[in-house]
Amino acid sequence: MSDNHDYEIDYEHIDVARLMEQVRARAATRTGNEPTFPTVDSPDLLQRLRQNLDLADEQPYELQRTLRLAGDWNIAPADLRASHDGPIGTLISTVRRLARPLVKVLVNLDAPLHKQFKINLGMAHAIYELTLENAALHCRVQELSERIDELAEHGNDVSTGTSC
Amino acid sequence: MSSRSTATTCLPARLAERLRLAIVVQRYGAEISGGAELHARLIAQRLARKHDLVVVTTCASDYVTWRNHYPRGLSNVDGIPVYRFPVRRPRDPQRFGRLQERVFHRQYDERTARAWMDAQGPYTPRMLRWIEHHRDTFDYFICFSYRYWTTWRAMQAVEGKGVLVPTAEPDPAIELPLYRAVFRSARAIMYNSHEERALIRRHSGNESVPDVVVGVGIVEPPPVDTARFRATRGVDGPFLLYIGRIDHNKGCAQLFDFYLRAYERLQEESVRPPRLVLAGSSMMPIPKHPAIVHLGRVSEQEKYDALAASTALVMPSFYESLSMVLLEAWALSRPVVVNAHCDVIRGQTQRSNGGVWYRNSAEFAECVRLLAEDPRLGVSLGERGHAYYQANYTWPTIDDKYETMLTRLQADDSARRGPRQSTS
Repeated sequence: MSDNHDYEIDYEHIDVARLMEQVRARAATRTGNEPTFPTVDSPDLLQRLRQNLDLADEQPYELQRTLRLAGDWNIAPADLRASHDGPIGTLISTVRRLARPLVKVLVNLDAPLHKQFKINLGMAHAIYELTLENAALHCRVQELSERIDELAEHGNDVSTGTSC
Repeated sequence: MSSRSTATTCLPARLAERLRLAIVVQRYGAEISGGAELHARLIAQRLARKHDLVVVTTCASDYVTWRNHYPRGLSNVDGIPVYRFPVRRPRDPQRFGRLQERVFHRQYDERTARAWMDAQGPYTPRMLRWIEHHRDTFDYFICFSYRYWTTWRAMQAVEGKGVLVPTAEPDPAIELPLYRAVFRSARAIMYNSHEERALIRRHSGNESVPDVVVGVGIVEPPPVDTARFRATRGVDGPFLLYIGRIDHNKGCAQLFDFYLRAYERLQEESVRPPRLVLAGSSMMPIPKHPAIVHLGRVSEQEKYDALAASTALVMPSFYESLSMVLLEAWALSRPVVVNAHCDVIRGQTQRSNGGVWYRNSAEFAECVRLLAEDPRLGVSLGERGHAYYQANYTWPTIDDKYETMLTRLQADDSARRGPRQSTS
């Protein structure tokens, strides 16, 4: 039947499924049960990394989606005169719009608003980038942890003489 | 002369007993070696022997950008008329990546899905207009690679006449709802493997569409000379052979990791580890190790010489819809060692009894040990693989499956037309 002492193989009517059962059993005996951990080549991990590293130029809007913010998330000059009090709100908002030229003579609110808008945008970018970086690092840590577990297991097997 | 006017004036005359077929594919050319494109070219060459056939494709040669390379209009490749249409806009990888990230992993609407498809390309509206204009000129349109714009639009434009060769892999694209209609409305589907059929049926519920698992044949290997390969390359002793692009996406990083671990393990156990010989261009760093030999790109002759000399072919890829190099190994009666995480190649290996597979480094090492220590096993697996290749992937078998399907479609179409004609 077999030329190989570790295996029972019928060379004339080979059944690979049965052969693979023996391969798996022998692999487990020789090295202990090695977990099928995701390596850096694992499609899932690659996909996650790729997903995280494909940075979009609309990142703040992704943040808006992530935080479930409806409408525009940043401030704008229109916010100064906006009102949500129904019909009265429309009236108030109209009065504010009409009074705006006069107010602008006394104080220019657009400049600090624009500055705050830019700050918010920068913060949103930074948060988004940090979130991505964190996700990528999480993937990497997970991979390394599994690798360490595997090596530790292998080390235990060697020290207790079960690997051969 | 515009491609449209060229097309209308140069169509070959119809012969009564021959079908008029159009092959639609994203790229086409003698020098294009991509899997689906080579597949399309080989099938075109076979079908052109019995039918009037034209190829409808783009001017692109690069699958990343789809930048126009070939001249537009009519040309001739291996005696087959090829109509090329310019890609209107090359792919913008950043925009495409952004849209793909959305449609693969987030919520999106129909408009975004269509924008993703347009961004994926090759976006070729002129080709679509030509196909719409010539819909009635051809009996069937055989469209390759389900995921590209060309096939997606062509299959909708020729509904009832579109025969799909999906070349699908289990990646997130297959789950997108915009493909379901294409899978369901295809006139017939020519699958590469049983696993591909199961995958597409699972996602689209297209069981009622006529189909057949057919795949593709390979060019008959030339006579081989293993001594010539060993002398030329200085490779002695047993070796595992990898053929193809050396790339992360092909599972090569894992192959290197597993191989180096197996090498150490076998040496510790006083088993001579086979070398790892790599044939193909490298897209990633290759570990510097005395047992790893990189040949670079090799000629077809040298590829077959190396295959015949190898202990086994190793196929580490996670995603394949059909591995032609696997068939080439079996054509030369060589066993294969494949990644069990790829359902298609593991399924083929199991059905053929032509090789072994691994799920982790321990199993990889055991497979390598087994083949290194037991040459008789390698011979036996290689013989089974060869028998499987002979039964399923020689050209007469492939030809017969295509002819049977086309005849069946014709008969169905005739039967469908009959009652209408009699009542009119």
